[in-house]
Amino acid sequence: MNSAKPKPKITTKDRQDRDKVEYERLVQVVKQSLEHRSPGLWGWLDDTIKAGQDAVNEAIEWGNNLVDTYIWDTTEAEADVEGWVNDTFVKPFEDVKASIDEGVAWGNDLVDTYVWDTGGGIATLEGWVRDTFDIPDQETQTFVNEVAEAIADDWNDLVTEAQAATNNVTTTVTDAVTTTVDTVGDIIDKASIALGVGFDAAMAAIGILPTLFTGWKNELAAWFDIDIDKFLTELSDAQVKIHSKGI
Amino acid sequence: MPLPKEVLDAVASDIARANSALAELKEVVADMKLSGMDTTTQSLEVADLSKKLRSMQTFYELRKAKA
Repeated sequence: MNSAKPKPKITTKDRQDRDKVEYERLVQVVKQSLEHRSPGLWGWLDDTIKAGQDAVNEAIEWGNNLVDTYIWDTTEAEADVEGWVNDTFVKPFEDVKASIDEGVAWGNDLVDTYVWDTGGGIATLEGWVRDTFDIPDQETQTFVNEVAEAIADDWNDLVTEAQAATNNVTTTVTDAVTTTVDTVGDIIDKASIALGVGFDAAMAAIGILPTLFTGWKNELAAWFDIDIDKFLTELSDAQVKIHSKGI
Repeated sequence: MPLPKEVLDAVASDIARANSALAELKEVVADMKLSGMDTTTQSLEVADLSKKLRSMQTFYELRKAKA
């Protein structure tokens, strides 16, 4: 006869109850680990966004200067045309290109930092902040709104200034740089569409900033890709016509 | 802008903790299924947590590379 005391048999219900308790405990452990609330991480995020805004502001300032320079006052037609072309097109372009390259680099870094889960498509900054820090929806949205509005404001300033400058283009310059003005308008339209219609679009704009910057850079490159000889000939012809009228 | 080392270390510690707990969690869900329970909800939650953990790991690797 076997005198060993039989082990108490665990019932299926006991097993399931045990698993349920263990499941809830482990889910909490994983969630707490993922909801990293380090103040250092939050401060770093804040600083990174501010640094990004500075880079964008710098790029935009260069853009503004470019428009101010390029959409020039043709009443000063007696300037040394050849020197003006060099000063106006060649030198500023190198500076602008370098600045915009910084903006593109920042934009790419932004995507690397905030929108890294490319397997799931382009996530939004809002979603990332919420998932990572477990911040209540309203607080997250307020924070992201502030970032989006700051960026949108900068772009709106650029749009306003570029539009004002474009309105001052005189007939001679318009003839010579029609393509350029159209290009500026196209860029402005894209910026307005991307940033002028509310939170969702502003969020999308953060994601497309690198594309926007790259596109802008390409547009600017095309902008300067003009036929200088043809431009100078046209200016010369215009001067001849003016002189022939005794002006 | 590099992430401070102490913050990186804290994130790495959290990732290790989450990895360990997630492995146990998968075993528990497997046992629940073997005991005859419907584990559809639990499997979805585990998949979601796995995705978030992958994101956190990718974030960490990216920031570590730039530190």
